[in-house]
Amino acid sequence: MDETVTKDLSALVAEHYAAVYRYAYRLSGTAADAEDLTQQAFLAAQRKLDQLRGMDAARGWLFTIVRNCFLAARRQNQPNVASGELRWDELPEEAAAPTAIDSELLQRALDALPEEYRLVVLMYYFEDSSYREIAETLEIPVGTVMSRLSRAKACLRAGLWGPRLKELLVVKH
Amino acid sequence: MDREQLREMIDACRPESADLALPELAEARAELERDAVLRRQARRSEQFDRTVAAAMQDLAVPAGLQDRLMAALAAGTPRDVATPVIAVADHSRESRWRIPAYAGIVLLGTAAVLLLSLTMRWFDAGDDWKPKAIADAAVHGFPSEFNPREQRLWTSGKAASAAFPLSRHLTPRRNPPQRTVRDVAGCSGVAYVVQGRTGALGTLLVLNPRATLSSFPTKPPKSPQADTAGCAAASWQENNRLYVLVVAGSAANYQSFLRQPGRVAQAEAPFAFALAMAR
Repeated sequence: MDETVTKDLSALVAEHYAAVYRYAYRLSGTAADAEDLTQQAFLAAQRKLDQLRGMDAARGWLFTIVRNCFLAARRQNQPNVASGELRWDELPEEAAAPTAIDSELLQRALDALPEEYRLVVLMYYFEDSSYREIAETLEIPVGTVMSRLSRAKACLRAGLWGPRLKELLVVKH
Repeated sequence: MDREQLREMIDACRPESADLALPELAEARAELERDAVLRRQARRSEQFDRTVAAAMQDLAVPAGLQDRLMAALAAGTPRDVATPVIAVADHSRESRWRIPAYAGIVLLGTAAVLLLSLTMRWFDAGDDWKPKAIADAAVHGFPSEFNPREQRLWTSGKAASAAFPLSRHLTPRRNPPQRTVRDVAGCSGVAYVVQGRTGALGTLLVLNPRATLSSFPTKPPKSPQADTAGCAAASWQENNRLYVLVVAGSAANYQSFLRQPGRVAQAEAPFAFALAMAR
């Protein structure tokens, strides 16, 4: 391997491996799959290093690779969950926002989301992408992104604060 | 425009961004100025976004991951993975999820305490972090959560995880049934169904170690470290991972899983394996 490329790659891993792993974990939901995905992503990055337009763009580039690796693996291994399975109309409209969220609880709520919603949510929160950027990247209409984001957030609220809401209802009765 | 559409638009805007200033959101912007209830919802939505964004990053990275990645890249392991075809976007801008300065100090303090406690744990993992104790834990879980004959537990037709590879000291097996395990003696990883030379089935746990592996042997011992309740098990270190083999039967059965030195690995017999699984 060329020495410059090796050096760039080492820098890329050193600077971004933690963020890439976290992103992979939030996408896949398990430590084993996240580590696999991280490794796949860096191996793919190694092959395509000449496509990287400067280290400033590396983070977004790596996230894109992770996303593609994840989608490719999902297509191979299991069918996507149908988005109609969630009962969107039963999700709570509002709840008082807690100041902190348990990381594992958040993961369970993310896991419950259909894949196309999880992708949009992670691009929004993790990649800090605007709804326009998400629409362009995933090649879907802006309205669809907005709708998925809103529903996904409602689902997260339900997953994160559902038990608390139930507790409140019990106290009222 | 109905309320649901307004809500979707507001939900799509990132906090402290210029998203709401976009022309297509003019109507939502005007409605926000008029409607106090909507403004309250928008504030809650922003608070929610900040909290979720912070929690997204609240995740420990496995020890040794950077070294394992560098080793895999140096080996240039060929893998059949998708490469990005999407145009590269510039994500170099500063994140909008801002944290006040005092929160940064608190976070730094918390990180220091966590680091200290993790370091202490690493060097003093306790009596349950010994080969025999790990083997005992595996024997305990074998009849239920690691039972290789409980087919509902396992996923078939998938290649072994590159991050949690099979042991080179065991009889090789391609695409073994597997599952993710979250808490085996405090470690997460992957469990595989493996097969001995006699056709017996066992379970191999490949785990992310929660503490130093210095007290573990570097290959599976010839005799199991635990041999009770009709099960035999042993643990060792390999690839910077903790490996645990647990099988039904006694020491002789355990030994049938170990790869014999100098012997060419037997060709895989998927049909025999499938039959053994079905038995």
